[in-house]
Amino acid sequence: MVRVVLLPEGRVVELGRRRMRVDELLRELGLSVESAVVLRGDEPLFDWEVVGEDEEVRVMRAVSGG
Amino acid sequence: MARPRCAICGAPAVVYLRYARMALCREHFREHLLRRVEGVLTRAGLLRRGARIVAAVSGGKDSSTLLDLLAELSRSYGLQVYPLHIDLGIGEYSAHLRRAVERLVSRLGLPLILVEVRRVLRGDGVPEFARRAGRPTCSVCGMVKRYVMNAAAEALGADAIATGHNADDAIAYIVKAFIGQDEEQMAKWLPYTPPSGGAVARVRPLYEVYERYALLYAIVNRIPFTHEECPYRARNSMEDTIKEMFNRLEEQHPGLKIGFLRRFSKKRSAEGVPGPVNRCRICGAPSQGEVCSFCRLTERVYGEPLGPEMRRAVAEAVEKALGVSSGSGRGRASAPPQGSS
Ligand SMILES: [Zn+2]
Ligand SMILES: [Zn+2]
Repeated sequence: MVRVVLLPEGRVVELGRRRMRVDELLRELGLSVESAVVLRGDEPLFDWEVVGEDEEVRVMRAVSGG
Repeated sequence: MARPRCAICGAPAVVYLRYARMALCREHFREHLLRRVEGVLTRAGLLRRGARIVAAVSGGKDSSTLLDLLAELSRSYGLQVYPLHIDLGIGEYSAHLRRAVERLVSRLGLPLILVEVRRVLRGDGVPEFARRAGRPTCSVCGMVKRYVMNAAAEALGADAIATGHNADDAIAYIVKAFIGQDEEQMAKWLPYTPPSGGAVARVRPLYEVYERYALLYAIVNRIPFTHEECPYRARNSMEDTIKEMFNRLEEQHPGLKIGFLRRFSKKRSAEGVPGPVNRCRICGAPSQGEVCSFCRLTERVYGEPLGPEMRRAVAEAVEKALGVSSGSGRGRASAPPQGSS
């Protein structure tokens, strides 16, 4: 299971799969890889990096008002 | 798979630019974005020693990234960059934005021009002002921001106002205007809008920077910014949908967004975009009609037009910012020291 914190709103989503690539994770969330940044801690991940079991990542949507 | 190496120097990369098929380290990512910003400023005639640029900085990712890049260019080219923050009085949200901006400018060693709308609007923030006026918050907010930005730029004798609009913003507004066949709106979304009828020129240095990379830049450089959303921001707006659509297209055709914007701006020029033609007879701000919308609306809500007061408050904020750094405290005084980080 991968735990995802969606930013900016802070909603938490749990994805049932054990391991997945960052681009797959975004696709499961219905986001384009161009429209978000996935972070492990404070470190942005590349599309092809794999998010493992029982991991928590943060997804920052780039599209937001400012 | 291992983390990639920078295509230029071989150091560990922090970003992969899909449109350039290139991974870059932090240093070369910075260089890459600087070149984009330089390109826009050069074409606008603003990349020169002594050019005075007001940088409107909200505390969000785009304008914070922009200010960081402009500060770098001020060091290498001698631009005079004046960060301006408008505290719109939107509760905690505004407080967080302001704190982010204060941290950023202190890190960059730049004096901040800080304008608090509450001080002029009889204690009201923009939402209360809009409610009393019976107008949508976002349109009143835009009007107030334009008014203050222009007043600050005039007080400084600035050559241009730089805003943090990125490539995705420009595309969203252009396509929305195209759908409505609103040529005038479309022509506004060029990298540079020359001065017109008292309105100070606008420059959009992040015109060729994708929103995602403005965010990544802020993250990897640990730039203070707030990712919070404005509580008044419309959800699922047409702009958001257009952005998502173009991001899907970009995924299939890397570089599509930049290509679109380059073709768009090559084809048209901002000359001939009708700007404000008059000066408000009450406050002297550029205006379409005899009285500017700020004076008109404040008169309706507060019983007197507050344009002159706002212009005074802005001029004082400018003097305060320059005074702190230059010690002389004169409005059009010497340039602030452009700090080193
Ligand atoms: Zn490098
Ligand atoms: Zn006026």
